[in-house]
Amino acid sequence: MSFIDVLAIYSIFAIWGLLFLNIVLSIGGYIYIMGMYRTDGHKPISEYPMVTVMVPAHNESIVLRKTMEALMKFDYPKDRYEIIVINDNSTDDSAQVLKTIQQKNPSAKIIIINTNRVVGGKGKSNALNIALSMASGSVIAIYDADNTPEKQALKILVENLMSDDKLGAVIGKFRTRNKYASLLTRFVNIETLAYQCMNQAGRYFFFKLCTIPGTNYVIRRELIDRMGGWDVNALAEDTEISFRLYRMGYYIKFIPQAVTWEQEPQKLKQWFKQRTRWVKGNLYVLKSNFKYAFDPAAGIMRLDVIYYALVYLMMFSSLIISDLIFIMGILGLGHVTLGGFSSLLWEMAIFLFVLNVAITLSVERNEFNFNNILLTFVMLFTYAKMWVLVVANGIIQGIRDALYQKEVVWDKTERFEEIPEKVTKNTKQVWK
Amino acid sequence: MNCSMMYKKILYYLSGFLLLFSVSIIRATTSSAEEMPKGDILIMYSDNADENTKAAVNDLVELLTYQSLKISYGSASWGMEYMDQFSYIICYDFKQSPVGFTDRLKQYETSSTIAGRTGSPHILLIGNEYLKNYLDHTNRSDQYDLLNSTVGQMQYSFQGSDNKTGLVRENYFVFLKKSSYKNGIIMVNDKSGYFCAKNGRLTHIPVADMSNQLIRAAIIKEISQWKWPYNGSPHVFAQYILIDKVYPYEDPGKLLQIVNLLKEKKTPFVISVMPMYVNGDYPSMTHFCEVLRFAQASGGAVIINAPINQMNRLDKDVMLDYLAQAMTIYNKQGVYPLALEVPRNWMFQKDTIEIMSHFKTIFSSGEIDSYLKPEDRNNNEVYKDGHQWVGTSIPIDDTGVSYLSVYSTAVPISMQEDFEEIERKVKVCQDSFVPLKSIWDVDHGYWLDKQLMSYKDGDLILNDKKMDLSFTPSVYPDRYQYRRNMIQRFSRDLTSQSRRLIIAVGFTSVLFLFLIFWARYRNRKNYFFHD
Repeated sequence: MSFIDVLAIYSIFAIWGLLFLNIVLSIGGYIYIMGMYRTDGHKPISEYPMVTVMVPAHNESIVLRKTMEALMKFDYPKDRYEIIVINDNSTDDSAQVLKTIQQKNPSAKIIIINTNRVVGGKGKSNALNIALSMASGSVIAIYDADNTPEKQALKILVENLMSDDKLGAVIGKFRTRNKYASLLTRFVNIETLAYQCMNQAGRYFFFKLCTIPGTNYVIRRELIDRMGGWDVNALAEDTEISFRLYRMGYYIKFIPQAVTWEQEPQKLKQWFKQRTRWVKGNLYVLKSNFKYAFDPAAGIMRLDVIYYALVYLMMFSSLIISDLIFIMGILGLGHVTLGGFSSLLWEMAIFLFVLNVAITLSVERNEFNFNNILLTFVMLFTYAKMWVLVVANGIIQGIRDALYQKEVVWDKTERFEEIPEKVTKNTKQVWK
Repeated sequence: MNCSMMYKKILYYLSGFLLLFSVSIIRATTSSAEEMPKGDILIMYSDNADENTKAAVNDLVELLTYQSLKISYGSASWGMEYMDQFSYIICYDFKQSPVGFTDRLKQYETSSTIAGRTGSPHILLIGNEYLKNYLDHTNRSDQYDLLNSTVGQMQYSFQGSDNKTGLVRENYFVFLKKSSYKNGIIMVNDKSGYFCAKNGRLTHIPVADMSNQLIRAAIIKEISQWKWPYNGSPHVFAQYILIDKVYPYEDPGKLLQIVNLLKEKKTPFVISVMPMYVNGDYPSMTHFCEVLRFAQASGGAVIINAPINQMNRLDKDVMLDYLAQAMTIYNKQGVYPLALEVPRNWMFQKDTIEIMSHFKTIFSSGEIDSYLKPEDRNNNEVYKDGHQWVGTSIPIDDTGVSYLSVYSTAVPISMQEDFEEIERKVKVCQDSFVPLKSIWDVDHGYWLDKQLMSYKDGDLILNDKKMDLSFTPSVYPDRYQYRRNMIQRFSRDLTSQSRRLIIAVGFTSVLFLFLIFWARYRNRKNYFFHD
């Protein structure tokens, strides 16, 4: 058995293992989401707690107006929530835009914190910590500045959080607002549905495990206080805080009816920067939490650490190896000589990948169509390969930062002015 | 040196270079023309022939190679240049001919024996269109009958067998009116024509469909007869019962049952084993080889199947290494493969021809190596290696028994077939007019990395040492240490893993499709219910 055979066996088992893991999660997610859609997601409570909606913003004037409009339209009792916008060392006209909004809506409780480069500009975690110091709510809700949540989202999230004392946080679903903007945003739309919503739902269904996605979630204020706020060294502060919550004995719930619409990067360069930041952040979290994978006291959170390790290390390496084997085969530099090894293995993997995404699309309205199925197929040979590059770049940058002890910088995603989308009769239906 | 002298010198060098260059080009052109092999048969097809026609010609070349014939083949405009170097020319299913071809063929037909050609010209025209054109063009329109029907019924009798019948299709049928030789019948519109007829130097076969097994077998038999320079029929070659593609993990009990059946019936047979590269001392392999040794001592012989090629660009050295490994494993267990079995398209590729050149006896299976890219060639280069060929039998009926004795054929038996079916096939082979023979009756040999085997006059010599071919039972250890780790276990053979995977994928796909339909149903049902 040659070295290339060993690599082939590793990549075959890694890819198929992860594929089946995803299939299992998709089936769990499907059952959970279909079950949830039989309800409206609400769990009425007698008294609604005070909620602080925190919006960290850095040079977001293009999108802020739309976001603020959506936040002020929440069907949550108006006197029971406040909005704190942290205008974090912006150099655009965000301060002016926010001031105008504040003046035009005197009835809404809007607090604007304008920071300068001395206290601000140090990333999302730092901005959230500043906002926390001024928050009066016992429940904290986080929305990114490019989000337009649906009006019932906050109420659903808070109702569910208050219904169980062991719930540390409740997360909602996020959708792509600008999915028709470019081919890239179409890919992101499918990825979001398949690998964030369905995956979250599946992990919650089987293990009560979820990861906070960074936006559209509510968390108990007292838990944040006990944690000492957000970790300013973590670029993926959401994953970091999820792990900490599980270690504290709480769990996180996913509610698909609480929806926010998010603007995704339209250009490759912005997408690459954003995803590299995610990878670096997740690898940082993985590195600092990997020790818990073998600690029984860490509870169910260990599974999440292992899951992240599988995705980032095993999947990444197996995809690179399989591509290398393919290229070496074409160039005639090496061949797999295992008995029974055939291209059918790859073809079946591709078929299952497409089917796995199709099941995710089928539960969403207006997403299960021929275009999206075709895009899923194309994704495998384009978007998935770009993901490999992103991970490679993230790893290289992470190593370089560690070697040169570089300060963690939050490389903010550039926003785009949105052109009003074609309104089709099927778009933006709301689930019952 | 002044300027004009320098220019003159440059001019001289340049002229010298151009002269040398043109001489080398002329030489190259001349040598390529000279290099055209003087083969036994030249086969030509239309210049604009489709892939099916080319595939049919390749098939023809393959079947004639089994008869150790040296074949050159190509398009009509390529071949017309070389006609005079051949005494036998086949024009296969011409739809049209290049300018001047018909005159050239006429000239060839009427020519006497010339230097460089051993005999008088023989022309075989397969198909109808060109025969009609040729005879019309050479003022012999009165020498044929044209029947305007697209379907005919063929009757053909192979040596001593009952008439085999089948439907044949052509655009129309042309039959020579006069003939000095005739065989087979094609009934068209209640009129009786022939399958093959000869008139003077022209021989004609009206049907060209090589995908029809009856036509395929009959064409080969007729070509063999046409090529035979003497009276009577060509040599009779034997057929071999071949238990094909036996894997070491297959049921050794069933293999033993088949071996016992053939031993009882005193029928010679061949077992084609699949190569093994590792774990040759495993108990299952020891057991398998024990059955093979028993077969070797009971009138059976073992040959080895070529390693399954999975290389996009075949590396012949790697392939030979694998073969050497596999041979070593079998030899250590007292099993001595005599020949190599290869996919049928191995004879058309340079590297595989070189691999085959290590073996004297080659069995050609009906399989195609899909990883091999076809090479443009104009002759059956493999001919020069002088192999003893055993081609796969042309299955005219469901038994697969051979009806051809013009070359050695193998009648394949699969281990997956029912035992009753195997018994039936063996019986049919025994009753066949094509004699059954043992490959122990012929000489064999091969050379690999560190192995040199020769079999002659009943002595099998491996690396200068005579091998004992009598049966000795295996000795099994009480407890065998497998030395397996997880990777080795999975890598042993992914085939079984793949099968499980296909089942799992099938199950998952059905489940997913159900879930997708259910979700779509629910979505449609709830479509108009909004918040």
